[in-house]
Amino acid sequence: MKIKRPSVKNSRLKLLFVSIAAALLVATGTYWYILTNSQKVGEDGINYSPPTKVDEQLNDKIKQELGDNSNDDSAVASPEQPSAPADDSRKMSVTPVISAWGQPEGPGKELHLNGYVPEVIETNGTCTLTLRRDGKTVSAQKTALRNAQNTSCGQISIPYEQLAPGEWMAVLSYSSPSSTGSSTVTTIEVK
Amino acid sequence: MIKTTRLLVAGLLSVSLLIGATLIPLEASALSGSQFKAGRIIDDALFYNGDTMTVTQIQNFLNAKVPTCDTWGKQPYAGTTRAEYGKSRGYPAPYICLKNFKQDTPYRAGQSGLCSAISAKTGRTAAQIIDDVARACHISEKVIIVMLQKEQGLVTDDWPWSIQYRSAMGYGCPDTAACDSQYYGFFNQVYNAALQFQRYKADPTYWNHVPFMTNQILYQANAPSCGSRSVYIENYATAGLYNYTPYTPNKAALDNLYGEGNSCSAYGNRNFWRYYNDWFGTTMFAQPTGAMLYRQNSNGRVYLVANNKRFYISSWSVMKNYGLDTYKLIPASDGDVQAYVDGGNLTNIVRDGSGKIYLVNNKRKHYISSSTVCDNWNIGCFDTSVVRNLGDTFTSYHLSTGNALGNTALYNGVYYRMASGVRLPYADESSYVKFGYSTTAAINANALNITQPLGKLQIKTPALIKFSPKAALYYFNGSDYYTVPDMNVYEAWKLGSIKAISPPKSSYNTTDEVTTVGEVTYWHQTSDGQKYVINGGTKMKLSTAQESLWPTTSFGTGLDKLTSNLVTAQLGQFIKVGTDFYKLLPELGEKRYIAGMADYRELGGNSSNTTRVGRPLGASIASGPFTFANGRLIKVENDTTIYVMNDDKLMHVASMAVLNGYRFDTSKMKTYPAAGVGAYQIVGQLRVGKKSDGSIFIPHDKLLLTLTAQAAQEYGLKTGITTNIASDLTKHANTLQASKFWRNRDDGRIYYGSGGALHHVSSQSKFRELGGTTTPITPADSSTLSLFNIGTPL
Repeated sequence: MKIKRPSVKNSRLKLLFVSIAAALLVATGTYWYILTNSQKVGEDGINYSPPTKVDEQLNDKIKQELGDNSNDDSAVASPEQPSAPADDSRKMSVTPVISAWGQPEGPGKELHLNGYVPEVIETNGTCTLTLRRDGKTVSAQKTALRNAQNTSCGQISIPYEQLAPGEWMAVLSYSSPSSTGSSTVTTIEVK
Repeated sequence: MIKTTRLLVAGLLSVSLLIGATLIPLEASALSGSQFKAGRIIDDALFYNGDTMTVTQIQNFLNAKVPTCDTWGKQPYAGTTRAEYGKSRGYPAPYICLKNFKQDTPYRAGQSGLCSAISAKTGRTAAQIIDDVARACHISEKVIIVMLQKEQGLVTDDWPWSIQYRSAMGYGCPDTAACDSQYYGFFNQVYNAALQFQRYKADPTYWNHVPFMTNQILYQANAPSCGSRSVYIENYATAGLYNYTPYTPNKAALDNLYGEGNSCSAYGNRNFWRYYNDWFGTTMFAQPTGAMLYRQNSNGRVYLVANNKRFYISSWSVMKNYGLDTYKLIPASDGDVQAYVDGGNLTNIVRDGSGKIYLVNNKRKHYISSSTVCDNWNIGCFDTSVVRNLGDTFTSYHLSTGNALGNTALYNGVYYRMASGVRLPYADESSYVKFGYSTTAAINANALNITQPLGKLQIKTPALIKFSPKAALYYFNGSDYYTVPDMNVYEAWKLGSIKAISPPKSSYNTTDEVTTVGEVTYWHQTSDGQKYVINGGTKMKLSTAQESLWPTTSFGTGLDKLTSNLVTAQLGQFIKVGTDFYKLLPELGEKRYIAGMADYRELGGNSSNTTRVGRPLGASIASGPFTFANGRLIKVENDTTIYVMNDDKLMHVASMAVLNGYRFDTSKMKTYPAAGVGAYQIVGQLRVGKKSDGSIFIPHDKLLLTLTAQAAQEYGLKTGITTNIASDLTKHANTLQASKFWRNRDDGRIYYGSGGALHHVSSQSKFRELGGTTTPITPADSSTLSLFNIGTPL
């Protein structure tokens, strides 16, 4: 009995057919996957895609922080803070920040310095700028402003006549019935 | 073979992946932290525009970001359900997602320059509230959405807690303390945050961080050790973001833009930037520093919004003058435009906060130091209806500072000086400089600043000048204008080689007549009194005699400078006009045409004594009759009289004996009408000729007997019988030097010249005694001898 061997040619054709089908399947799948996961930007240029994993992680993180702090979720009375303790040692310690300074050109050449107090939002505090150089001390004050997420000292100005060119050591202090503190020392060049 | 098949399969799979990849829509390039600019997080034009989305767009956007709201907290969370977890933290279900959120909103009064009034409304959705506040406070809806996300994640949260709405924008919440209850509530938060952003802009130096200067911005709250960085804040919006959240992302936060950085990282402003980019596109929309350009949607009018006012821009020229033409316009609703006080039209006069007045010219501001300068420019420097205060930020940073305004300007290639409101143009730069003005001091003026009435053209440079569209050409000698009448004069003076000025039509009144002092002509008298004829680029110095050639011509003056540029030449005895030759006769004040080259040469003409002149100049010399070479015979029509030319005069040829003796060329004899001959001066009858050296010529047969003046006197030539002749009149004759002995062929007698007479030698012995045998005997006849005194016989 003669055994009929499978045709090598037929096997090759089958393999080729299967390969083509598989390739098309992979291509279509790849296209579909990327199409459904790409961003949907509308004709108005707005991205209407659903939230991403990053968005979800942000939401989880916010939830976690809110959950962790839920027991401390006590609102601050408004508009003014409770009457302040008289003793500074019982006041909240804050660290003002010197955030900008400059000396515009012009006849005045005043020194301008901006700062804020990050820890509190108050309207009844006073910011004091103190400049020191070679034993000389110059200072100026300004009533603080309520800001969105902090207390702003705004811009404190010192007339040029009170200064001399050179490096000055600047400290911004803040004092209110409930808070007190000073910034780190910042070196400021007076022209 | 199997190996080949495997390779084929592998290839097909590769191709399929490639096909899949090419079918993928091109994605926008991924945002990178390196693109974050700390000083320019978002541009003002995008930030302060309350008309960037409609309520429908906002609602669709919120819907898309929360496809399914987990209202009852059924999904698992922290090992339990969201509902259970939330309850344990004080926030039980149901959870209202932002897309479903509604609340009644209270009335808010308008705040001048910040937010317009908002009326009380009931049941407003979050999308409506966002839009209401955005439009009232002119803060972008997109900005509010991103703020809600970066502060509380409200936009993408599918189970938000009430506390997230309570402090939705983080307004009134310091970093390390509880939030201020005064600002609780979604509407309250959105409104106060938007209002605060407008406060920052209205008083940019009142807060923590100041735009348009270098600021020190912390990396992290309550961690001074993390340090800060210096950031030059480029606009109000970025300053506002830092005033609101005073931290900037450090490198670690930017390197991992979609994750966390390190312990010194803060994410608020990074996330704002990231979300805005991812959701709404770039945060860049460049606008002039300290201002915005609005285009009102309803009517297309364009405004510069600056110093909390709107200034209507009436033309593209104004845009260019202010250097605003390179910026995109912000589409704006009527409400957005009307939110700003009407500041009038944008003019070209501005003042700063200190009251200094400037002229704006091509994006520069030029300080106007006095009312005199103002009057010179004819601009209303101190007229409040003209002067605009655009705010110091725009004036200082957008407009660069030019020189203080002087009184000179350069426009369209022409220098001008402003004098008492009149614009005096200078014909050229050289003139401008010669008048003592500096080219560097002149501002390069925009057309808007060149509207003064035009004054008289200022010129000092000697030059040819033309005022188009008039065809007339003028020569300006440094003080006066002269008309250049035609191209012949132009060529004679070689005016093509001198400086020419063609001032633009814009620099003079084209209808004005030019006042001239005369014409440029061929005749010029320099200031030293010397008269010249200008010809072919040379100046020909005239002798007194030559001046007679133009006896009535007026010689021009005032062109010494122009004359000095010309080469000196001499006016010859002959001129050539075209192909014709003429002989000049200054003593007669005329030129005479020479009929041919032979005559020209015989008259002594050659290249060194002949001047080629233009036809107009040639024609300016009076013409006499034709002239001929000396000895040329002239005959008169219908007459037998024959004349001979002798130094431009005619002499009657008395007889054939004369004709034969002088041997004139009868073949070249010309016949003229009597009138033509009459043009010549007839100076007598030719017989005994006398040349200028005194030598005498007496025709006899076909000879000319010649005597020296001394011999003529010795031999007794009668006086009054000679005629002056030209030296060359005898050139064709055969001459014989007369001796003392003469023979009258008519009677054979011999005469001896001596003592003022001819004496008959009566004897042979006397003839020998006088030397007659060794001396040639001059032939003569009775007629010839009659010319002499006859003495006593010897």
